[in-house]
Amino acid sequence: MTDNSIIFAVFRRHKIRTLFTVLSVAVAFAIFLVVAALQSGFSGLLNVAGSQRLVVFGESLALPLSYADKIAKVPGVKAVSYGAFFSGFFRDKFVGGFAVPFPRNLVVDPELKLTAAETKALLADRQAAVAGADLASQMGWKVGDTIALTRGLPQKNGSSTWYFHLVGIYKSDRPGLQQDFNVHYAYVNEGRADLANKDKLGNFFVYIDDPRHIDSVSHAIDALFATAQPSTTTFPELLLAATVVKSYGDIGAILIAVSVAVFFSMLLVAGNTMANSVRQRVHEFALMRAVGFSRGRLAGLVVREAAFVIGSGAVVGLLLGWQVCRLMLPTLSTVMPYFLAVGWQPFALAALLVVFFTLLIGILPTRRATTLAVADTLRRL
Amino acid sequence: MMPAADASVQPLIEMRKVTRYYRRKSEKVEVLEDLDLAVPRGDFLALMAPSGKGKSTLLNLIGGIDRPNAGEVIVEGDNIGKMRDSALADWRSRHIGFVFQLYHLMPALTARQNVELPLLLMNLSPGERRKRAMAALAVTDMEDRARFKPAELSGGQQQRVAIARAIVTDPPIVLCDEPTGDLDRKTGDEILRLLQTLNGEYGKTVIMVTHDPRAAARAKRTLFLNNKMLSQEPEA
Repeated sequence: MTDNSIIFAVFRRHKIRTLFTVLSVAVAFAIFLVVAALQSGFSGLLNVAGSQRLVVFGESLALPLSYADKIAKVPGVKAVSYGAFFSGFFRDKFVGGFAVPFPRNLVVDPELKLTAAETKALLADRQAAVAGADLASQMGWKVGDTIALTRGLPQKNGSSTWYFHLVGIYKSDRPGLQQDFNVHYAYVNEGRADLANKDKLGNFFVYIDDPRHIDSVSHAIDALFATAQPSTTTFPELLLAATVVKSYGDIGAILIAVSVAVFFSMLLVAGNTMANSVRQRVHEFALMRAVGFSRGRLAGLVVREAAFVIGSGAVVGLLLGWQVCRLMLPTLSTVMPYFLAVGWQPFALAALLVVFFTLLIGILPTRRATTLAVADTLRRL
Repeated sequence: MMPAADASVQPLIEMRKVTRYYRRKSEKVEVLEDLDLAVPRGDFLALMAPSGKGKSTLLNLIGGIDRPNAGEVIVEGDNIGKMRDSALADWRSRHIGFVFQLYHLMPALTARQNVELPLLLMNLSPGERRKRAMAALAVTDMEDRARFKPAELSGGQQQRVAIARAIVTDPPIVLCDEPTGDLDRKTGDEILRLLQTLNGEYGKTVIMVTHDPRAAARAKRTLFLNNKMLSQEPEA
């Protein structure tokens, strides 16, 4: 038997009470992790966009491809890319991706990381495609596969099934990219049946040489097409992300408030349970003092008991929260690429919270257990 | 006058001019006043008095779980009234075994674990602790109930476990506060026989507080707490 055996014997004796206390702590930590993941998603939006990228919109949805060369000549522009949404079904599973111009897209979108061999293969084949690691894993794809996407854009040859050769599977710091499927714009553009939308795009992505030139380059691009049809509006991608973040900001604040409220409730539940647990066992603590346990050793026992409750609740809660986040990931990753890219910080903060709450809920019971009048307590029953 | 069994023997326990009082609001309630006591090694002393007269207080002072307001409590040469709290706790673990009227076993632990509790304070291996706990349970004839929780034991069996816990660290002194007070006569007699065995065969100095003359008759001698002082005669 050890001191810990005593603690676990008490837990076993009050299984239901212990279970519910641990669960209350677990729920608090699960919510904490989900909030951390959402915050990571919000703040990630700011980082993912990058400070050197501009997004060019048209008055109408479709911008002519010919704008690309004109934008590329604007002073300060380093590279221009564009994207057209492209989708289909792989064995009845929906696949969404982008038709982009390679290789220039690799300059504008450095988060899409390919090996030299993959890049070479991609550029050598008009039907080549690259997929994010998460998407490839979900679909069971491997490099070298020919992927048939059905129910895609109608083609000139009458088919709506598009065939691509998977030449690369990439991992990216930007989690949302791991769900992407990228193909050559030229291949899709030339193969599509609806000629009205040929050489038309949703928007351009412009990579500039210096973040300090964002305003001047934006104005220069819009000035270039001021009298054209359609005219353009150019935003820093950061501003776009900031706008998105702002719209979610209130929700973020509410989530933080909920998280704090849940922690506070957890504190009350766990604190009350600990206080009751010690109150019900004052005779046991008095007995332990009588047989020679020092105040410090008793304090250690009570604090350790609190630590086990909070610590195990935190571990269960973080695992639970992680699973919840993983379930939310497919839905949220498209709007929040950095959702769940939480890093080690929330876990370090959770560890600090465990210490903090352990001390907070342990302090009063510890005081009670260590300052009781031994003789009086043993006499009363 | 200092009641002692034999004045020529160096006492194991000595109380000199001990006074203990409590404060209830503004009232000062004096329980012991200028009390002297000497208990030689190997004694089996019964302390008798009606309820509320300070028997347990006297026992607690000897056991170091209470401190006198005045006077000295000297056990094996140590003035325990002057010890710091942590030193006193350590001292208790080595010198005193307590037996209480209501046993005070920990309900979540088995009989063996309850007996093992004081051994956690000693630098022993888990195996050695277990061995000693089983040996103590054997002394109290409770070896076969080692895995039982207190709720699964009768009152007499619980008291036997409590006695095993009191002797497991091999302390020289066993202090018993109404050890048969919650037991029927037959079981009480068994417990008293066990205490006599501890005193006679194992050399423990036993001090037993009781208000039961039959229990006191099992001791080697009896002292009475009359008017905050000890005497060899009951209060008239």
